[in-house]
Amino acid sequence: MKYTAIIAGKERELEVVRRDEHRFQVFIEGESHEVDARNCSADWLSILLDHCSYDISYTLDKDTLELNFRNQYFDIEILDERKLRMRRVRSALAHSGPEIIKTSMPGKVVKLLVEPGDQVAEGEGIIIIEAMKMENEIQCRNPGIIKTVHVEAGQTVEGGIPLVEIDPLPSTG
Amino acid sequence: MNNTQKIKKILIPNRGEIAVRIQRTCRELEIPSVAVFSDPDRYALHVRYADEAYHLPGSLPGETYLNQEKIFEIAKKCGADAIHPGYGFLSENAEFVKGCQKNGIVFIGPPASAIEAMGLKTGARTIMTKAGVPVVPGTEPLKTHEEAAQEADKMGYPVLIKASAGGGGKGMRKVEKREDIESAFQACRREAQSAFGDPRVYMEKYLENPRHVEFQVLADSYGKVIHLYERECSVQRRHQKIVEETPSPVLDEALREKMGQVAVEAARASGYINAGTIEFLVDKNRDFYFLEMNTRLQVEHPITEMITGIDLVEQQIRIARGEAIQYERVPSRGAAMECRIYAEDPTNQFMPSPGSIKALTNPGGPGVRNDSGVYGGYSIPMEYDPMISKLIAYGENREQVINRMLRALEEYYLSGIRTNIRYLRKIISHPAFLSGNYDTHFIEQNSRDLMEISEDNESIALVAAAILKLMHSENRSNHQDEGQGTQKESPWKVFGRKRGMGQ
Repeated sequence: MKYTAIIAGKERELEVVRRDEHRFQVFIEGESHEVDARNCSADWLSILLDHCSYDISYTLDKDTLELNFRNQYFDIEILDERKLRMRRVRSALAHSGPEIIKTSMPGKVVKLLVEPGDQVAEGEGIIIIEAMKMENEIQCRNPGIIKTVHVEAGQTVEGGIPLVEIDPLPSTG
Repeated sequence: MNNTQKIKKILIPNRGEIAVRIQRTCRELEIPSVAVFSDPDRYALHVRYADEAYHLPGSLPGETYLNQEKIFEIAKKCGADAIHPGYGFLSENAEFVKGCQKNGIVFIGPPASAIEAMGLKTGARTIMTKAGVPVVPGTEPLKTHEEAAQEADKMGYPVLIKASAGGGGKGMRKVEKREDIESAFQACRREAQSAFGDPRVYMEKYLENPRHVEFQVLADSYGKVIHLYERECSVQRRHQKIVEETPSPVLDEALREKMGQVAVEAARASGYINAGTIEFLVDKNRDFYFLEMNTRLQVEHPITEMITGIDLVEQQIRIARGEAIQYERVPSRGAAMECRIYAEDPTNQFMPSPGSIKALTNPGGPGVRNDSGVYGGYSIPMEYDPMISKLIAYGENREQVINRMLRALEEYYLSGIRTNIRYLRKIISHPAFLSGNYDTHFIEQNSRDLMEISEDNESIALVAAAILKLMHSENRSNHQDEGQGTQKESPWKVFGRKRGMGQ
């Protein structure tokens, strides 16, 4: 099978061939690896690669894979050709709409760092949320102009709801 | 001692790892312990581990772990004659200590008067100065910004303006030059008023690159005070300690002796009884200054236990029931280090990462202790502090302890949530940390190094990803026939159980 993996924002070409019950041949960007792989329990994979042993825990949800190897985490999206095409279409659409700032968990708005009309740079702090007794600054991914602020300081918010919407900068070219 | 009293049952109005930590000693002393739990905590480890557990309805601290009335009611109902508060929550609340007394309950901690004396910063400074304990050069509460400017000129910039009633970095400002004094003074008063209901501020000399070194003390009801050496706590992120070690790399024998003596004097001066901690700042000339006293068991107490062999919770219980301290001078041996494990994601601005722990492998082996409040399958609630455990390593010397800690962190596997484990590994393998020559600015000065994302192991991750995806799409549940091997009962277990039953 051929897959495209998206890891740390980069696309990597993979191919995997099953040799027998436990042995696989894996090509990463054309480079071949012989692997003995076993599921030791529901979310643990033990790999022997050139006699080196790697014990990896994982969570696989459809196309998204979270790996933990010696406490280094990898978020990998792994797609076959059809899914890759669908994803490209989706992300092209997403880039044309506003960026929506959310928090993944319920919390309290400590401070808004922007107001509508402000221009923000990539990675600029937008809002400070307190959750689990910790204050966290949420930053934007893309440069833009603040379109709407849905919340105010002191307000308690649910996880996942839009807090701030940011319009992309008008394209210059 | 004849005036000792028995403690028959201990209520622990706390949660998480510290509640479990206290329960363990209770079990060793054969004293039943009683847990309490809020709505989100029914599944918590401290409830499962407890001998008895009572529900505190609600999820807000005020309704639950801070609800004094309810806690006293439960103590009466279950027949608890003593309370161990742990750290946080009610542990430094003088009113609560008085309430215990009124209800005929032994508070396992200091008297209310000592908590009150150490609670006000300027008050504590006065007591310490009288006792000959060096404090950071500073002023009495300041009335006007003109007075502040005069004092700052005398002291030399930079200076710190601090809330008299303050703590934890709130109501505190560093001032670099005279022009900024007035606005800092006013802002500090406002913050102090809103955070502590007391607008008074005072000024201290700002120490450049200080280290944070604290001494553990024990004091009994008969005037005996001893110290159990220091803990170096300079690795801090946003005023929160995350790695602690003992001995401190900065102290030599002479300085340790001197600071230990001063710590004992400081505890004596405040009329202290039970376990407490004297915090000092040590500057680059190795001059040291009293910072504050923590009138409770500290999060990082286990490293002291490792080098002295003393169970501090046991000592707290013994002192509370009126026993005298049995030691004169406690020898120390080797070195120890603690790393605080948090459910948070360092790669995403340290956002807390609550949720379900899908798989958990605890570290083990030589010289490793894990004081944990979680288990595999446990869902970390989002209502509380995200610290899930404290990993402690100990050994002959600092070098062995660091290698051991790195090894133990590597063994520690949690899936389903994000943790700071890899970040901790980066801290303790950083050259500045390894050299022992670091101060409280270590984290901010090295934040770039600590956040560096390496691409090591990426090809291993990709190999695993390809295989997992293939297995998944083949829809073969390999783990069913492979996984059984791990679930099969070990013959040794069967053998052990038979023996346990007396054959």
